[in-house]
Amino acid sequence: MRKYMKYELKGTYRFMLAIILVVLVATSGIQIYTSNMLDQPSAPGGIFMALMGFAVFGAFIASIFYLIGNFRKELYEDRGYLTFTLPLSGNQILGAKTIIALMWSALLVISFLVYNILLARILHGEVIFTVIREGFQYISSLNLDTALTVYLIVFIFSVITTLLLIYFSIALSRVTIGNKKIGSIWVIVFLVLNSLIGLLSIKVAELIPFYIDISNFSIITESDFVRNLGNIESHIVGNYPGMAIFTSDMFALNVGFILFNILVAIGIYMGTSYLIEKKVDL
Amino acid sequence: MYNTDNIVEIKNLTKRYGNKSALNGLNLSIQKGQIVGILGPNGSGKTTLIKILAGILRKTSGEVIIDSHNPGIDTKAIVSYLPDRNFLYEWMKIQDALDMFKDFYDDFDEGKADELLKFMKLEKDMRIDGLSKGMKEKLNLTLVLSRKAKLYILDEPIAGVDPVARDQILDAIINNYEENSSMLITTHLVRDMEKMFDEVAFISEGQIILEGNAEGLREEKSMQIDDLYKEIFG
Repeated sequence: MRKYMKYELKGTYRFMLAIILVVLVATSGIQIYTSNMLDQPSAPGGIFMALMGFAVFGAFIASIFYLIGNFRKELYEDRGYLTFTLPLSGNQILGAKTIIALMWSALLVISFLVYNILLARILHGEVIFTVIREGFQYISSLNLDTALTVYLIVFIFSVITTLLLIYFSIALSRVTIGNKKIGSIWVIVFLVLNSLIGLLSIKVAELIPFYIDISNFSIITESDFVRNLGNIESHIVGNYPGMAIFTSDMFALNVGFILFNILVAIGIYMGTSYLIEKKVDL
Repeated sequence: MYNTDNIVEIKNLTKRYGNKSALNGLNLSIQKGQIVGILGPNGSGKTTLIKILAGILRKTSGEVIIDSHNPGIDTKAIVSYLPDRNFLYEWMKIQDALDMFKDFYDDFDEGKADELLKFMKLEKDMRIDGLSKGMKEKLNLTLVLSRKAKLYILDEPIAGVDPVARDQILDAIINNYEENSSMLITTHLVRDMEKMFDEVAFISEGQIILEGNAEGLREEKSMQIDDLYKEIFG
C-alpha cells in the first residue's frame, strides 16, 4: 500500500499545493486589507474582499472535488487499466487513496490555520495569541475541554466516514449503472445512503439506551443523566436526542450510536474494497 | 483437472452485458511457450476475453484458470497486459512509469526497459501527456515487454499506428518476449502479424469457430492465415 501511496502523492501534489497556495494568498489579501483598510471602506475594496473570499471558498470546494475525482477517475477513465492490473487488493488501493485524501485535507486546513495565526501575529502583534489564549481559557471555564475533544474526534471520524461513503457511492454507481454519462448519479446515491445511515443510527440509539460518560468511561443510563440534572451546578449544554447528551459536568455518547457508526464505517470500507476488486468491470 | 502444460484454460466462458452476449460458451487452452493469435473482426469478443484474463472484467459464467489461479491479484503478478488504450497516468514522465513498474512487478527488468526505450527512441524525461499516439503505444509496449512475465497479453498492439512504428513494434515483440513465456495477441491486422503466431484461434460472436497450429492450418487450407481470415469473415 505504501508504494501505491507514493504514486498517489506524486499524482496529486501539484494540484493540491497550488490549492494551498491560492488559499494562503487569498487569506493574506483578506487579512492585510482588514488590518489596513477596514476603516476606509470603498467599492473596489469590497469587490477585492469578495473576490478573495470566493477564491478561498472556491479553493476548498475545488480540493474536495479533486480528491473525490481522483477516485472516480479510476473507475471511469483509462487510468483504471493501470491501477486495476497492479497486483494490489481493493483494500490496498482504497486505503492508499483514503489516507492521501485525508492527508491533503488535513494539510490544507492546518496550513490555513497556522498561516493565518502567524500572519495575524505579524499584522496585529502579540494580541492575537492573547485572544486565542483567552478563548481557550473561556472554554476551560465552561468545563467543555472534554466535550470539545470528543467533538473533534467525532468530527474527524465523520469526515472519514463521509469520504468513505462517497467512495462507496461512486463504486456502487459504477457497478450497478456503469454509464459514464450519468456517472454523477453517485451524488444521489450518496444523499440517499447518508440519510438512511443517519435515520438508522438514531433508531439504533433509541434501541440501546445506554451512554458512555466520557469523563470516566462508565456506562450510564438516561435516568443517571436526569439525576445529574438535579445538581444545581449542572446545566444542559447540548442534547442530541438519543445520540449524545451533555451538561456542564457530564458528557455522554450513546453506545448504540457509536457502535453502529463504527460498524457502518468498517462496512462501507470493506464494501468499497470488495466492489473495486471483485465487481467493477472496465 | 487442469493440464499443467497449459498456462491458460478457459471452459464454457460466458460474458453477458444485459441481454447481449459478448462471449458465448467460449473454450480455449493456451500451452506454455506458445504465441497465440486471437483473430476476429471488431465486436467479435476479443477484447472482452482479454479483459477477463487481465482481471479487469468479471465473467458471467464458466471457468478461467491462469497458471492454476483464477484471475485476481495472483495472476496480475504474472500477466503482463497491454490494453488497447493509453493506460498510464497523464501526470507521469516516462521515468515515473518505469519506477512504478519496477516497484510493483518483481519480474520487471530495468536493463531491458533501457534497451527498449533506446530502440523506440524514447527519453526517460519525456512527459506522457506530450507523447504522440505512436510514441505512447511504443512506451506501453516497452513497459509490458520489459517484464519477464509468464503470460503476455497484447490487445491490438499495432492498431492505429503508422507503418514505421508498426514495424518497430513488431520487431520489439519478436525480439524481446521471454522464450519460455506464452503470449496472447488479438488483432484484425492479420497480414502484419501472422508470421509470429504458433497457434491461431478465430473468434466470432463470442465463440472460437476455428483454432489450430498456424502452420498446420496454412497447409491444410492451402492459404495464408490472412486469406483464411478473409474467407471466414469476408
